Amino acid sequence: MTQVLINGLAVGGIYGLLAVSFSVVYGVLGMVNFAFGEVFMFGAFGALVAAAANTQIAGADFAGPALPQWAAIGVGLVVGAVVGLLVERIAYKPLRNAPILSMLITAIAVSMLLRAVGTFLFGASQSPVPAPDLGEAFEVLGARIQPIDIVIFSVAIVATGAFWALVKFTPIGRAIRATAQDRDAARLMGIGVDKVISTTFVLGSVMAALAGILYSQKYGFAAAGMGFIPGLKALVAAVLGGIGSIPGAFVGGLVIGLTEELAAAYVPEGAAYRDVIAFGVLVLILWLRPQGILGRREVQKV
Amino acid sequence: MIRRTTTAASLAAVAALSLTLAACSSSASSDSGSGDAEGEIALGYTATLTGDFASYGLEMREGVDLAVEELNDEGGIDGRQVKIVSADDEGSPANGPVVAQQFCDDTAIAAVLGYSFSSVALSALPVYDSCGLPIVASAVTSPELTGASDVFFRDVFTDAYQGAEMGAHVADGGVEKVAVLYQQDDYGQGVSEAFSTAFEEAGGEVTSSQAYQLGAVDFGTIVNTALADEPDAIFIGGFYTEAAKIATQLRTSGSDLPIYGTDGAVSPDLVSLGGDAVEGMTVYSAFSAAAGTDASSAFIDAFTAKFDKEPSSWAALAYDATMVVAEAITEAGSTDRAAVAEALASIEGFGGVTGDITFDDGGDRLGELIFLQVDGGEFVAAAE
Repeated sequence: MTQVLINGLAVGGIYGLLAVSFSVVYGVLGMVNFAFGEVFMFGAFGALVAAAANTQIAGADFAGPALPQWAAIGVGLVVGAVVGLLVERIAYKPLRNAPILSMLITAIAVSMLLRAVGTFLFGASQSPVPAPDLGEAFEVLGARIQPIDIVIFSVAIVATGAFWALVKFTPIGRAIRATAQDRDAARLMGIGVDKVISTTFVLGSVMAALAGILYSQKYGFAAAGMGFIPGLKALVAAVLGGIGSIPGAFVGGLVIGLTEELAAAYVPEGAAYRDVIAFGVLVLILWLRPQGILGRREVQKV
Repeated sequence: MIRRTTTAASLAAVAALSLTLAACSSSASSDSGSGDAEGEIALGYTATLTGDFASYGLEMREGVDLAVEELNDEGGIDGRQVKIVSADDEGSPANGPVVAQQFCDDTAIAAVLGYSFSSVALSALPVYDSCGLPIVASAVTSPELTGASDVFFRDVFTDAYQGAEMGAHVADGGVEKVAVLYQQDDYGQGVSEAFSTAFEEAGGEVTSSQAYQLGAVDFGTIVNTALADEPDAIFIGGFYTEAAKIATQLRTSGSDLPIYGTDGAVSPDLVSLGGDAVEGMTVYSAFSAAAGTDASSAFIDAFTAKFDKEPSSWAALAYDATMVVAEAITEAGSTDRAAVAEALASIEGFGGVTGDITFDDGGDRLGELIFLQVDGGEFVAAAE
């Protein structure tokens, strides 16, 4: 049981980080940026390529920089941030005053485009990611704990906490909240709304890239399509937690992660139907609490 | 059938080859009807030769071409040269009867080789039944084809046959309790059920049987459930991407139990993704260039010389299918379709490069699998 819970928290931590990305961007723009699943993928590949001594990109061999692990992770985060920023500037900025539906369709297109770029650069099959050396697994209460799971959960908590604090207590955070509340009023108060939106995208992308890096290290692979299912689960987590709320998104991630693992462990044939069960929980919770676990009731402006 | 990814290079090759093959097929079919008794013997070849799944068809064709070349170099069958009439089924069951009718109408054709997809072969069988033209397929593994027609044979083992052989093999190795993990689709389910049945018949106990989805990455929980019953070994009925992750997560959870897999796990990517965790893992295959037997070494050399690469198991099986047909025509003493079909049914212990070939009443192949083990990152013949 302990083992199942630990595994669920680690998986949930990854979903939580990615859910925070979806949640904050929804907050400022009122749209779902489907491309975060691909930012997740580019973050993982950024760290993988930076740490490798030799690597293959678009079918050609290159000498990799072979950076130490911590620096490679930094590169992965920067790659994620750059991809996120480019997506915002090129795809979404021209649509700032377009209907939400146009932005949503664009987001789906961007997501598919980035996945195709990933396939072109890194191939269609999975690339192995070496496991980080974190020492041996240890036993607690009869459960065997993997150090990576502890690292993932701690990093996820700290990163989400820092992000929340940034939004809550800093001037740029105040600008983000103001923009989320009322973009036009924020602009009238002298806030550079475009800059705030870009900043939000960059910060969200860093969270998504971090999630991708942790995911690739835990499961030992990176692939162009790796972000699709986690992206979907994180979006569910963000909605579940109350979209727009940072702690809510994280809690939503944990709920999805734990549900999946508990389903795999205790429901007969649960491993094969874990996704169905996770999405079933979404339907159930939204039926009971339409605004999500920690969300506030949104008043539709007419 | 095993999934594979195609690289840009092989796609280009497919495109180039398909043009050539299309040219072949149109010119060949225009010759139809010209087959006099002492002229060339024609063999039909049909498979999916274009599109995403063309690689099986093209690899089989290489095996067929090598066999035809060798037969003709030695004077053909009964002094008659052999030629191939090729047709692309495009992977579509709708094309199955069309191609079959084309072959039936060409009286020079004595037998048909190929088939990439079970669904296409199934749709074509009624047409072959009507004209009595025998088929020896070499890549289609669906159980629905078993006994579906008197003129249908295949030299590829069915998934169920292979799973059962693996079950008996594992039990023979002294393993008493196995935990089964399988991919939730026709392939994983079929192979694992056959494995479990054979293993239990041999006196073993299946402690648990858990399904997972193709594309799943997290096996921590099902690995723990599998280990909870203290099995002696783990059997994975699925493809290499998931098998590698299961092996890794099994090892990180502290278990050093032996792992058994299927032909779906035989890929260099199993080793690159699984690393040390798949070291010692046992899998099976109908053919392996790396673990070549005496019977296959001449074939491997000839193939490598002709195509500058190692033969895949599809190429080897298609080579054998061609040779079996040649043997049947020699036995029958004519290219009469009924006589050839009868000779095929009575083939017994034909020494192919993929081992001995015998067909059972349902047209399925009986024979021995090759068991392979990962050793130093390579697939080698498993120690008995």
